[in-house]
Amino acid sequence: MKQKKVAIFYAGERELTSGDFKRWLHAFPEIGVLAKVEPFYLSAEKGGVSSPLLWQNLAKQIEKQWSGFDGFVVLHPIESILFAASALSYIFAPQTKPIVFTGSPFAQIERKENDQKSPDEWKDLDARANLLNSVQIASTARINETIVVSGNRLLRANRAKKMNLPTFNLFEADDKGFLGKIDFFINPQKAAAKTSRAVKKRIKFDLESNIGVIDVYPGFDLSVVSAIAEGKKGILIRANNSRDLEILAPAANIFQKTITAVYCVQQRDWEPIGLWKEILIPARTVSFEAALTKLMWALPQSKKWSDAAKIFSRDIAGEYGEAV
Amino acid sequence: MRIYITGTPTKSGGASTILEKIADQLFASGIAVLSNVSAVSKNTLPAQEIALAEKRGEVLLDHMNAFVVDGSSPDSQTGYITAYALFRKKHVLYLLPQKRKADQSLQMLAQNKSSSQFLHIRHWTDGTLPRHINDFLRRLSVLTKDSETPTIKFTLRVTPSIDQYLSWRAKRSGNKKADFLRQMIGEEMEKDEYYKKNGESDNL
Repeated sequence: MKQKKVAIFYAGERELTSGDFKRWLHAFPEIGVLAKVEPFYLSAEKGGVSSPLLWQNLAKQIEKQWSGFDGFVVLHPIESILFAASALSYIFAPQTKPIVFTGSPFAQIERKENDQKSPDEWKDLDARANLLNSVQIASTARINETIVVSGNRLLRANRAKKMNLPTFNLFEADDKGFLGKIDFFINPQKAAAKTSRAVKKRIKFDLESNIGVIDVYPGFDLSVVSAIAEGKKGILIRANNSRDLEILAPAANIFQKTITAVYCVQQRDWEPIGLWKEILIPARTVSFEAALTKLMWALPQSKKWSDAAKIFSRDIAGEYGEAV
Repeated sequence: MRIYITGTPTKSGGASTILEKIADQLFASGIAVLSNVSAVSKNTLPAQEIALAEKRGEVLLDHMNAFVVDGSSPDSQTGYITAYALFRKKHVLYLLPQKRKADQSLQMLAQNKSSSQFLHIRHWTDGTLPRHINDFLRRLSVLTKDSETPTIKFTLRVTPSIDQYLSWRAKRSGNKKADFLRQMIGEEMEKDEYYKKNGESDNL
């Protein structure tokens, strides 16, 4: 049986060197049974913060290795994993190979002062289980999408949401985002398993990070809108429902000057009416992380409001749960 | 005890002869047998346990005590289960037909200090298969008992003839006299159904 090849990227974590990462992988020989793996290390930005720049670098590195591997695994800090994974889902759509995101083991490790232990002695069992499952998915599951794996679930990255329950399943998704589960082996949903696409479009790596986010709530202070919107290329409004958007009506002229998308938490199928029709773009049923990264990805491709509106109306990477 | 057996199903989705033999022998030894090949899966996990595992985000492989892998036609599934079990430090009996070489990644695991304790690669023939399974079960049974550390100390006076016998048995088995006694008592405990039911509630 010819072994599949999987590239494992380590992206965005402080206090870890490329050598640490390689030693840690080397001390995990069981992975070698699943696939021939090769580690790639992306040094974090100053402070180790995950950011659009890091996601672009990650995407470029993956693209560079695309032809040499059957699948890709990305170890990424849990806190921002949905942003990174959603961004990559748009950048690479439509995908011909799986990209599997899972939590970085090193985020869960608290190094004690003067701790001389080697990485393989650190307590990271569940992260290792996630990595093992991710490598298996990347090499055999034939789900040509960007996936998030945690616990026993395979979720579409741009439909996953964080859970705040004491469980190994750190994320959840609705039926449209549920791609499979792991019980005794990897069980992809029938709808998730896809054959490779031969045609690949030119990849658009650019992400616009100059975006303001406005959270609207009853009693929202309108005076902050102009400060938030000042100099921004785009705005994402997060509102509980369309009624809360009416609070923003007096500031409509500010939104007219920029490209503004709206994510309605409780009313995800909301369509703009009246005054808002030519101002706000509905982000529909996606998660907040998926809406924000879609706006980041859409803005560099949009010369005018209607371009962005057109991109948002399309299901780029299964974020609306439609066929990808 | 639960043992998961895995192998590649036949073209019609059935079980190979070796999988059937393994399943029968394990089942006859009182083991709960689960498998990826439904024809030889003689037990299932309770629905409540599955639901709870699903909720907690656990992989059901974690609910197994040990694994038997038919490596005669390895595929991605047998590879995954072997890797997962070893990573979780569970014992794996990896069965290969006589003269078949284990692939390179398995050979590496067999040489690895940590995983070699849990990976038992055996070459089988029709004549040796039952022995390999029995040896594996014996090992698991001993290991289960050994997982409880003997910490209670007391003085036992024995007759010279018992001492002579103990020394003889210990020398033959390559164990210490105390190990032999512990194993013997452990086996008695295993067989004692009355103790299993009432041992904790009886006021001794």
